[in-house]
Amino acid sequence: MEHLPVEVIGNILSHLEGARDVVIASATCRKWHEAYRKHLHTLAFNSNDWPAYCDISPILLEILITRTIFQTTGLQGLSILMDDAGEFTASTVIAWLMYTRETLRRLFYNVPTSPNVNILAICGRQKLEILAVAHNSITGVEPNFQRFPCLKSLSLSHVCISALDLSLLLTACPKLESLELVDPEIAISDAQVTVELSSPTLKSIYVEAISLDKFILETDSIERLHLSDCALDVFELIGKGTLKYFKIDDVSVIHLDIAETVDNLEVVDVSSFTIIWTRFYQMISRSSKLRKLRLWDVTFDDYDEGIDLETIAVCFPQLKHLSLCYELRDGLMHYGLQGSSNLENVTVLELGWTVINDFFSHWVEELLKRCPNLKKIIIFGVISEAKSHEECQILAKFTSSIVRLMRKYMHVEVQFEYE
Amino acid sequence: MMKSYIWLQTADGSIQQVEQEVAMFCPMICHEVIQKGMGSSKNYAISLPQRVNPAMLSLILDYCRFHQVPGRSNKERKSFDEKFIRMDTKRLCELTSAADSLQLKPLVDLTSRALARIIEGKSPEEIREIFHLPDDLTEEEKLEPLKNTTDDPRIRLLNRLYAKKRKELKERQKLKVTVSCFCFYFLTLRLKKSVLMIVQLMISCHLLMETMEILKG
Repeated sequence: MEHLPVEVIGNILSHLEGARDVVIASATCRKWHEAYRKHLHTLAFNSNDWPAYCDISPILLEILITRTIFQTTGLQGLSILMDDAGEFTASTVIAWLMYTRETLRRLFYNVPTSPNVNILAICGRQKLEILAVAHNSITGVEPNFQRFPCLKSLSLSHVCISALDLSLLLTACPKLESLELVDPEIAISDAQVTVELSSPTLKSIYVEAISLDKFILETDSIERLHLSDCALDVFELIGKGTLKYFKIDDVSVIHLDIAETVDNLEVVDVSSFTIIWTRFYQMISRSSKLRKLRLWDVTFDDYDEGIDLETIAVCFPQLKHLSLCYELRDGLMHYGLQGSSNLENVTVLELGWTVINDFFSHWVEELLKRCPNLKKIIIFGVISEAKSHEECQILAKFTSSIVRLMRKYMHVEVQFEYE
Repeated sequence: MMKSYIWLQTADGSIQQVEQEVAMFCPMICHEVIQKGMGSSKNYAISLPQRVNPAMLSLILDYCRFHQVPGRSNKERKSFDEKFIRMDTKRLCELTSAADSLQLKPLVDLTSRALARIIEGKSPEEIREIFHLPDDLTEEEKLEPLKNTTDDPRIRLLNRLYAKKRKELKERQKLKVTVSCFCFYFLTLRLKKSVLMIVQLMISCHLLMETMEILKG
């Protein structure tokens, strides 16, 4: 230890992250104290690290954080994630940000401040690369005066922001690659709630718990898109065919349009969604490079004929992983199993039921026939709390038929997951 | 194809040859080879820093040998790292020191994380014992960490502003005290006068009433 230079000790203390551990370690000897004062680059005040944080009042917590931060120099990563800590006063938070802003690269902050702190005005034009803000408001974005020239990742949770400010914010970040929006409160100026975002560098977008009339995304480099728990009337993605990963779960969208961008799609994951198969299929029909298709817990329109394996086999020849779970009605199933094309490259099959019926085992059998190179099959089942006699009987029948079936396919690994 | 080797010399004088792609994984060695053309033969062996002894060099080369292969998955690399890091604290410190002198940042971070996990949750005495650290902080420094912050100009400015503010507050307090004393004295003075007046008034009222009674009766 004596041979370690003080900068390396600073690096070790930075890996401790939790402020309490860092301060305790700095009280051991002179060298470590100096490492803490001059070479610490990451500091975190997270309520998970130390249970006693919630017993301290917000004012004392502010003093504690101020004393610890103001003893360091050149901090690069600051994380203040205090759930249920009450509110911090704006002047103290501004002091922390102004003290660290010249060297700060990563900021994580989730405590409401009163009155509201304009983080952009304080941190703009500096070295920030990762910014994650929660439970605060962002107002008055001026891209001409405030820019984040190095910002790569932006995460806004439970933030109050107007649609205009959000799109201006994106233009103020010329190198942004990842955007995360969770449960934002979008302030609207006119009757229609429309959000239009445009960013030439954005690669990954995650949107959760948003409810809008119109959501338009224009990105030329997008690779990952994930929508969760959203209610949108119109969702449009405008891009150049770079999208690789598309996932939606628990989303209700009346008009979904990603048609221009699907040429390089590799993963499509749809769950808890009402699908009109013909329309959906038309949207992704050009994705000949599709590797994984998951349609889980989807419901079909009454007039829809459902998914047919023939189309899937023909249009997605490189499909390796197929996951299907939907209510099997007699008509649906028969239509779906028409044709004879095999899914040549599928090695993993996941099939699930939400309500078990007699069709399921027949369906599994048919699908096994269609996947000659299958290596693994996983059966997902939902068992209801109140197990009626009828349900138990069906489950028993299913178990025996699967045992009989798998004897024919000894090389296929079978797994079960019940919940 | 002939494999090329690089010659390395540790502080104790022993010289060994190492496959080129493995040795070049270390930035310091890479620099010596490219910028100074060293390491091509036994006579021109690269002198490694003092902190790298033969045992540590062998560990570092094992690390480089595994990680310089491009085709490995992240899972494989993580798994290797976790097994690699299992050693006693003293060796871990030596390894950190050696890796730092060779500027091998990924290995420094790996060992630093492992050391941080050892330090986590322990008291200062326990940490001192594990790492044999001298107990050279004064009691005052341990309890009042804020005192030695006068070398940063921003802290000095803040201190000056606070000192100014504290002075102002003190002055205001003093002023308040004097004013309040004065007010109290003044009030009591006034009170005394008025008390006198009241007493006089009361006496005169009483006399008046008695006179009235006499007049009535």
